Amino acid sequence: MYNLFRMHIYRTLKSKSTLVLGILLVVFTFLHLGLGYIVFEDPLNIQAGGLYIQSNGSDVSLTPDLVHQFFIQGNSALLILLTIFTVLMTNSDITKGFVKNIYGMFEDKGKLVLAKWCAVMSSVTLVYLVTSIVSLGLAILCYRTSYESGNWDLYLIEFVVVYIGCIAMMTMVFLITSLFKSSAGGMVIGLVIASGILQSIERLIDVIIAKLSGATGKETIMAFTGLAEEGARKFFRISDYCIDNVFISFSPAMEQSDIARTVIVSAAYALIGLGLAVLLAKKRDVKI
Amino acid sequence: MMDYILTTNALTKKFGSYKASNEVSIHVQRGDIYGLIGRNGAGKTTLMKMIGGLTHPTSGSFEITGKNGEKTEKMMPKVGILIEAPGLYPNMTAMQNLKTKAIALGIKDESYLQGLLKEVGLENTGKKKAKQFSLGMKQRLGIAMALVNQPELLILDEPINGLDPQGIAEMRQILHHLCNDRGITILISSHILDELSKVATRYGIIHEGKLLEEASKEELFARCSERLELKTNDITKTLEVLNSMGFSKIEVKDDTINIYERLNEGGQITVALAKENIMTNEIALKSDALEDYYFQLTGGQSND
Repeated sequence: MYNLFRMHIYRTLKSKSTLVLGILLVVFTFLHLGLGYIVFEDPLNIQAGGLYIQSNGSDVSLTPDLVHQFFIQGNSALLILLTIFTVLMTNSDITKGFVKNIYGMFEDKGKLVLAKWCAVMSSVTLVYLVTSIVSLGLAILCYRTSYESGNWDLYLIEFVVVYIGCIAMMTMVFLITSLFKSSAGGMVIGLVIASGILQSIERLIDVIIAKLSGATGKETIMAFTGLAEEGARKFFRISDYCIDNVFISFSPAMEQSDIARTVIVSAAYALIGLGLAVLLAKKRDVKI
Repeated sequence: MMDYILTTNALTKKFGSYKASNEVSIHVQRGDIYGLIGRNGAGKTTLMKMIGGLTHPTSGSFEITGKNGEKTEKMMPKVGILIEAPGLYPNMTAMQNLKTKAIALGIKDESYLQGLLKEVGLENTGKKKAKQFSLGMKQRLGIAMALVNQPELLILDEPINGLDPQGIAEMRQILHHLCNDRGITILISSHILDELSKVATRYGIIHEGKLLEEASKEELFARCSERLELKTNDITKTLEVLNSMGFSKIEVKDDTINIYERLNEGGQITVALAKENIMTNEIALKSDALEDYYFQLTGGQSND
């Protein structure tokens, strides 16, 4: 399996699309950095920057977890690029027909999928690590902060939980691409998940559930906003168990139970997604 | 006892209710170039995909035996396949494509890969990417890819499809080299019968998913060669008469008796049959090309 993993890494490094996506990642990181000026200069823009914190119009200290939240978790460009990368890396041996050269040689087809998943997730992990470190560094350089007021415990929670969420989302993209065996199909559905478009539908279902359960007007609004405030948990919310919503809504300032739910839901999606992809490989034929 | 490298046992693949491969049992001897003959959609590719491990059979089984008597699953790494178009990364060079597969198999020796390129005549392609290769070059690289794991059995599906005459000749040369010099058994399919007849040593004729006939080159050519076709009102008695006349190379097919010797004795046969009150309905001297024989067998028509 290690050799299969090495093979996937080798072809990824030789791929032109990896280079293109790498360049795009650098470009978008700098664009996001520019956006950071607008967001962090004026605390009122915090919500517009995708940061779920209570600023109340006062100055917001630039803490490491906030930088991570802005550059990684709230950076839709990063997620979209990772999705495209995952789709291309998952599908290229199938679309190019290369899989025919090795598929029959391995008795356990699950190993083929597992090795590919490991290679994809290693690449995702590398991108995650590099962009996390680079964004922390760039924030010091560009926003003249020294993280003196930084809460590194919160950063660690943010870093780990968002990483698990990221892996879970990319595993879902991996599964969907394996299922459809088409880059277009995988990419469309992957992007829908990664961009959080489905959130509105999930929240709408939450509202319907709340209404059917006899929620008051305020409770219905809370169900729709998805905020983890007191009373919001009164009714069952399907969005609490949807990976896109769980990922985007996460904040290290959440209650411990909510952080635990985020981790469990993400891990469950990753494990179930990988399990289904392995099962699929064992059952399906290679059609090229 | 025959030394079979591959035997299939009623191998069947169903897509819904359609049987792409219908209880096919072929026997490939070690050292053979086994030609699978069949028109497009006859089930050749499906059969090869099942043997190559790309498709799960609906029912039936197959057995691949290695030199040391190892069987099926352990032998799968000793099978090289080139099914339909070669699976290549277009932005990689020939060497990089080979290296990608070699890494998966834990092969580190680059000189071995260079040797493979030389074997298929691609040693001078350098930094040229696979997408810039001609069809013939791609097919040859596909064969090199199939050879990376040092196979004992090579499965080639329509490797000469779309090649120009020179490409076909080069491919033929490669196949002879692999079989004769490296001792690799080859299972090859094609619908270009004339070309297949120049390389194959044994044949399996497939039609609508079914194996109609399996024969050695000699047997098949004997069947295609000149013969007297005889139709009478009593086949059993006719055979007795022919035996008494000393004919031994006889084959009965449906209501026709084919005689493959003493072809100038048609008159004597008719007289001998008449003496036994057997009515001769038809007697004619016939000969077939492999193509004619194939069409006769499959009930199809040639384009001629």
